[in-house]
Amino acid sequence: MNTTKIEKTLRLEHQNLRGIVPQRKTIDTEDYKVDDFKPSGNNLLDEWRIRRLSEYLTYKFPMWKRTGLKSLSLPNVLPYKGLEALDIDGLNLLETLDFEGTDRKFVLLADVFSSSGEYIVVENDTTIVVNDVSQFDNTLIDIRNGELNFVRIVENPFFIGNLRIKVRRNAKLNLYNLYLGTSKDDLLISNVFIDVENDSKTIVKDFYFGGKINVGYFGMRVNAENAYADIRPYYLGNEKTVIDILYLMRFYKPNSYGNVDAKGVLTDEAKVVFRGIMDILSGAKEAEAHQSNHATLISLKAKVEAIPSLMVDENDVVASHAASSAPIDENMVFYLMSRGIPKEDAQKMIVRGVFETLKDELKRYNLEGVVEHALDSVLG
Amino acid sequence: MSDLHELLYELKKREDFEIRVNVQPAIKLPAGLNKKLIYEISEAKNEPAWMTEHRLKSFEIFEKWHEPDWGVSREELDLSKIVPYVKPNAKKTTTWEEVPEEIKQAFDKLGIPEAERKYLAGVGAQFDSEMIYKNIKEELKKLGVIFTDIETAVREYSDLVKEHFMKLVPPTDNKYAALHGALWSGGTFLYVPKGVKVPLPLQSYFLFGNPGGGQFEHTVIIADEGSEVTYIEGCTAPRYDVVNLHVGTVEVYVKKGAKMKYLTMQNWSKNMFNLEIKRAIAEDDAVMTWVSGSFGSYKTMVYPATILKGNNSVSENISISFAGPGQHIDTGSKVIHIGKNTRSTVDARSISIGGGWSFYRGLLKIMESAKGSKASVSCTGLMIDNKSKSDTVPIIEVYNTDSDVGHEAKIGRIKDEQIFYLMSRGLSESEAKGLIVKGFIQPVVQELPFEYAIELNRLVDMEIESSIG
Repeated sequence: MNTTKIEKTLRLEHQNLRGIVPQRKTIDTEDYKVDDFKPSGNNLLDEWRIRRLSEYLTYKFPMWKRTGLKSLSLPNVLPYKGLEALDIDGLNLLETLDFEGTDRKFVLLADVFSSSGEYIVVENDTTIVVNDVSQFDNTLIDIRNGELNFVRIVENPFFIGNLRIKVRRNAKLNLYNLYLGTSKDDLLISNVFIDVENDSKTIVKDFYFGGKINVGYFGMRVNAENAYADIRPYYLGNEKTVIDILYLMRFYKPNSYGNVDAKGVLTDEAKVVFRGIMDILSGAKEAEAHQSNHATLISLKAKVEAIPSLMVDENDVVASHAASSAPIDENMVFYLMSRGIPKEDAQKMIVRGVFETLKDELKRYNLEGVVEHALDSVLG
Repeated sequence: MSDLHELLYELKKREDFEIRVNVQPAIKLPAGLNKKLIYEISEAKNEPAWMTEHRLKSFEIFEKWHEPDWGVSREELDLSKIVPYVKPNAKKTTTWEEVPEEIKQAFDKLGIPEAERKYLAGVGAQFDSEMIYKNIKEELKKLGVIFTDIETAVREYSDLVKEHFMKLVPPTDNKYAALHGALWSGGTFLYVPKGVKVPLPLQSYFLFGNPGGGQFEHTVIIADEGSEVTYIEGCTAPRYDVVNLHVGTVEVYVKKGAKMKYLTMQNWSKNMFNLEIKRAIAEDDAVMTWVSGSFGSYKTMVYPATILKGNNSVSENISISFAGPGQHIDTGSKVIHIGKNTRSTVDARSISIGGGWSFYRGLLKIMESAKGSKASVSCTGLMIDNKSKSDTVPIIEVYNTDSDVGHEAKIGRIKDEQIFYLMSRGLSESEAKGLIVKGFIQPVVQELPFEYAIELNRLVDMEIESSIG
């Protein structure tokens, strides 16, 4: 298996048969040019960035119907910051972590024009909290040994970022991505790509709240045996927020486990688009892949769109997905009311309960207030 | 058994099942698509002007439309090489005695005349581009049930046809709907009057006998208020070395309180591109049931759809698709909830074997107006071996908060313990697998009339045996 290829989002081929990949629709908008390129001072990195720029210029920006992305206004390019510390090992790693993401154009944009980010090598148990990302962020993490607790808070009115993580043999990652909109004009496009090795463990919690358009791609290449991945996306949407999130897990080798369990609450006219792809290639025997999305709707105009996909080329697997959307469970409300809790409070308790695990885990970083604040602003 | 014996056995099995009809057609238009050809089809059918206009307008839309940018790859499908219209050398009749002997023998082999005698209320038989036989029991005729070929209906029930023909599936729907609008030929028109409950199923069978040909039959069914009817559609064709094309279209109108069950057993030959469009609209308290078995074809794209327009209307969709060696079967279901308190269930099952690719593609849409609706979608994929592929891609869109929607999917294999258990009871491996597969498809089988259920089980045995070897 050649890992230097681009990890495509959709794999619609089987033997000599082919499925048709939907055409990419584009928008015409003013784009960056070659002159906007800002050198980093690292020749190794800049050669790579220039190759990326060359590809970047071949694409227009995508138009996304479900998300409502119909136009785009780009900010001025800031001085380069991101992977200046990249060495030859880092470059080799970067080359193996290439992916399509939400859209290839946005991945390349953050690679070329980032103004924040870092190249991080982890050799021992480490905790990192990042809360100063810029408009375009590019971060590369290589967890060679030990356990990394990585917390990233994105609270920008405009954010397009790439986060690539390699989790090496026996290493462990605990990742918390907290995407917090600041106003109702915000645009957030996040690409996270994780490549894991044998016997690694990956635990992820994503939390999406606020903003206007939130688009998240989370891709995971499980080209490994006995790897374990548990991904928990949470979303809380109010007003006219659109949260469009894609979770891809691709299994290449036997005996790995992957689970994506999304939960969320929507009110007002908020909309969530949940796309899940569990892709199990031939040879990934005894892989176990589960995926689910459960949305609780507490207003008349909230919307849920779910596309939970399973793609399976190997028959010796356990693969399942489930999706549901429903109003708050009346039985649960009734139970709480029978304990003397007023109906409105009972409903709020149930909604808060959806995020309880996330809040508990964030306590160790003193960040539980982030979720509490979001819930307060929605539930009052 | 030696290899040679196995080969002979395999060839014999195919010979038993294969239907070949070598009759010269009365008219065979040249391959290609152009306006002149459309005029010729229309003239051959002696159509009213409005239908000729409809064809020409559809052709204009076809020329402007782009190919759908999803589904199976259609690179091998060259529309300019498809023969769009083949009129068999047989007049339309209501008695099998008048059907040319060779065509009759083919339908005999399929068991159609016998089935008609035993348990059907009416039968239609289409060969190539035209219905050559259509008959319905006298009692039903007296109750006002209309069961005829669509060409006759265009002439004799013009207003009724005009009101419903390509209104649910307009030519603007997609490129192939437009192609169908331009080239349609043959098919069924069924009208069941208010309150009439048809006690036995009606059936149309489509047989294809020309290499490189296209079949574009059109079916319109109107189940009027409070009526009940079951309709069975079957299709088969011998295998040719060139691509054949089937773009049938089905429109079903289920009026207030009516119940309609539409069963399809598709067993096209493995050189067929099967690109069908099936759509139903259900009014208040109506029930629409699709039962589909997809066994044949080289590549298939078909997604029976129900629009639940009326309050309390119900849609059921039960399907089994079978993707064997070299087959790419892209099937699914679409349900759109518009009315209040509407309900839908989808039970989609697929079997992949011998390298086949089965792909479930579904859409479930709950509109803002569909308050109090309930919907559940279940997809199950069974992969018999490790060469095959099974995918499921359901799209679920929920636009109101007062509805319950659930979806689940599972893909897996037959467990070794299951095979071992059955083999320890004296079954061969292929028998054991066949038995498990038959259990898996039971929800479809139990919806079929008894004789069809037997036929379906036989088909499964053949497919399993020929795929496992």
